[in-house]
Amino acid sequence: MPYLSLYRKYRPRNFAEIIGQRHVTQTLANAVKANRIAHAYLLCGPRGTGKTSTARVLAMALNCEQGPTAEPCGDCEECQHIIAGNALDVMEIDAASNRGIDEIRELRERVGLAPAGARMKVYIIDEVHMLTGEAFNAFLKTLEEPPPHVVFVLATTEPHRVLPTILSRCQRFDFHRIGLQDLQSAVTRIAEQEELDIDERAVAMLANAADGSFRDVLTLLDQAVAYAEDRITAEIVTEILGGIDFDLLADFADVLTRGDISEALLLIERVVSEGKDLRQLIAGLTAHYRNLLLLSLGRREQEAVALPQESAERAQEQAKALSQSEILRALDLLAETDRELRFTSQPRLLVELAAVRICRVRVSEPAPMEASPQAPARAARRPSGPRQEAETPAADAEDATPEAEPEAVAEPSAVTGLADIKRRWDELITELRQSRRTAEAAFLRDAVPVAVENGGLLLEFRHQFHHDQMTDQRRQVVAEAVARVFGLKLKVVCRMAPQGAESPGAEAEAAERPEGQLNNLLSMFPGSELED
Amino acid sequence: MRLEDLVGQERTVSVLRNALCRERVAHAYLFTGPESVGKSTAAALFAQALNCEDTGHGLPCGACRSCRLTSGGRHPDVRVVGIGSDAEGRRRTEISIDQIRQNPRKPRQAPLPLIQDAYLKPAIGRHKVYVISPADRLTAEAGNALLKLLEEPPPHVVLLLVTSEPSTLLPTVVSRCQEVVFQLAGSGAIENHLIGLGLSEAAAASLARLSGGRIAWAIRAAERPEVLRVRDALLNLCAAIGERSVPESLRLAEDIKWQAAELARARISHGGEELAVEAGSDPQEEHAVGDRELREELPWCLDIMVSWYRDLLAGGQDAPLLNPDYEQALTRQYRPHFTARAECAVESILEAKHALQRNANIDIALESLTLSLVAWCG
Repeated sequence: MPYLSLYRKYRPRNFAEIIGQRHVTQTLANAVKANRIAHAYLLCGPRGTGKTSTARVLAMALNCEQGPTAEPCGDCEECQHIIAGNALDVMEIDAASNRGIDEIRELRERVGLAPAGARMKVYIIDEVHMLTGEAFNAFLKTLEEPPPHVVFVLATTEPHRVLPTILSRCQRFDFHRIGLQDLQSAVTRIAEQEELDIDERAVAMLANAADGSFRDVLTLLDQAVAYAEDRITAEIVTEILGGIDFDLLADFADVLTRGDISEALLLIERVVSEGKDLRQLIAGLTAHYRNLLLLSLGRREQEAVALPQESAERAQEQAKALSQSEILRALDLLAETDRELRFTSQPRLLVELAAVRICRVRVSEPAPMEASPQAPARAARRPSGPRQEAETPAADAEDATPEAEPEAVAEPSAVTGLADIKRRWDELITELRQSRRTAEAAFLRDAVPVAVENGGLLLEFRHQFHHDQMTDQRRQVVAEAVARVFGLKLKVVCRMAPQGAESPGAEAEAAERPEGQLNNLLSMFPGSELED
Repeated sequence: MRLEDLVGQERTVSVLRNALCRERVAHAYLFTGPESVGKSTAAALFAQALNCEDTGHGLPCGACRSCRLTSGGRHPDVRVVGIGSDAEGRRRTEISIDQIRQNPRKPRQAPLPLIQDAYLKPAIGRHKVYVISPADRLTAEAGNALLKLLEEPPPHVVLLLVTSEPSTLLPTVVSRCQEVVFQLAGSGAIENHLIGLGLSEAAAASLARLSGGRIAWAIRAAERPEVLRVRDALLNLCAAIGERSVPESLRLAEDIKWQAAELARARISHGGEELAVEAGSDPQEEHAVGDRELREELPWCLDIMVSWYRDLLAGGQDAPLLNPDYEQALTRQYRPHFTARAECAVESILEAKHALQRNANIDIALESLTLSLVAWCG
């Protein structure tokens, strides 16, 4: 006897063994008891929730020699044949590989014949969503009024692809994802029967990874058995899931929260040198930040995150340290990275970039109090995260200081807004680009925010063309983006930078740029002169 | 070659070996993991081991009749179902449903479709093994047609699905297979392997870093000295952006293209028979490098450039460098205010990469990239 996968070995043999679907099994069992069997059932639901098994159990219930009974014996000849898949009167048809009208016509011809030995003829049509349109239609009349000895059981994971005319002829049962508790106890039970040595924590992780599918959890258990030398521990499960374990993810999140770029890069180096998949890291981080989001929304730990006690506590701590908008922004960046990762030969670069960006979000998010003397005014204006304590890591200071100075001349309360806007100008542009407003983003690259006054944001453009392109509609788009990014409701006003004079922003730009290049450019175009 | 010889896949190998030794071979496996880490090789070896006649001597022994047949691709019970050609000999892009099941409207197909074939007894081996690769290219119809067989195949059948994109597979397919995850190899393991192949230590270290853990890529690159040369050239170009005069910097686009062409030429004259055959000409002949070849090489070139700016980003943070051999040049270009600019540079490069993927004109994409690089980092 060759080895049988666990999910085949432990395929349910009666209604009671089908876990987590009481609403279906109870109904069917009662129908059998009351002898009120419909002629057509449609079982739908996600993979591995028991559709095919239910269909087979129903066939057994109807044809069992002790029956019809809601508790098929599983021992009589008929039941044995059904379990082995060679019963003459239980036809299991794979609609995905027999999907044409010809196959259905053939089926139709045979439906009329009396059962060979059993009480009923049961047609189990699995993956029924793959039938072609013609096949479905050819099937309609038979499905509506089959001969009295026939029961059709249709099973599918994608009921939306089944014609409505088919749906209306069937009694429909929707299978649900199986709950964590049910999966866990199923794994524990099977592990006992298989005499496997497995940690409780490992069981929980397997159940969590299976995403509500009985088959998935047993496939995973099979994998764990194949990998483990003796005992199946949480570490082993982490490894077979290819995932990154919680502590590393939590460490990473801590580092990102601190905005410690160099430590983040070192962590990535460690992950890479251990040969772990960076996509898994991103997926793990995404899941982790999702947990943090749920926690910060105040969901109860148990239902939100399937984590052991101490991990949950740590996650709770981390969630407290971050504002929701920070978590959302990090999730955004992670999702973007996840998309980009498909197209790169150097995943490490993208992951590092994401880390740097998340660090910088963190750095620019809380109001850096000592950075500017007008802090109190700013605190009032900014949408405040839960954390307001002073935090001005080096990277922030380095970016903010050169630009913060020239603004001191303007009116204080406006300045606070402006300094912020200037410092986070890139974020605005990124936001515009992410919301597919590339044109506006491009024009804004030419602009420098110079003042916030009378509820308006004044932008100075260096080139006439860009200035002229900022139509009312575009200004509106920018204003909306400003509201999203900075949380400020401002009207956008544009003007050209004064001729000859360097705009304040351009000054800062030019300060970083070697002067020689401008001259170089001038010499390239003889007879030209510098405009602004 | 044995399963143990796979570089940097100790965990995976132990799963497969345990399955074989404990006689707990599942009926369906899904080999997943990044590209070029050895999934297909592992599938071939596992198929070989499943039918190996002499299990006492390593897995697989490689010497018995069955092993020799399998490694020669002639074993009657080991079949690879891959992307085939259509009736006119054009290469398809997907694995079609007709490769999976007999179409009732068509005459009996010549190599029997997988499902029909699976129900026949093995000819000489213990198992009938089907390698479906790349499994992500199964059409939705083909994937669905496979489901029932994949769930409950006859006892002698083992299905090996190979893919680097498991997320694009039907969830119903994935849930029926035991997933075997292949990982990127650590750079140390790759370095040692390359040294074993006869590379100098410095070159091995460089390639190991460049490979990003993908052993098959590293081995291919080891056969092509151009790879390292082009990398040097590209990094030097990046280093020079600030130092050259503006008009000279603007030639960057041309230079990048030249380096990509260099790679393409090398590939064609090296192992590029496939390309040459498609072009219908003699592989020895000097090739004009066309648009398509350039497009294949450019993403890699651009990735190298990204690594430069990534190092600039990391430079201020005492983080490990990707190009430690360029530390001096990096320090020369590094300025404290660079962080945001290096980030913008990275973004421009990624944007150029995207544009090229969407079939943008190569010259225009590269020139616009050059302009932004000069603007950001000049």
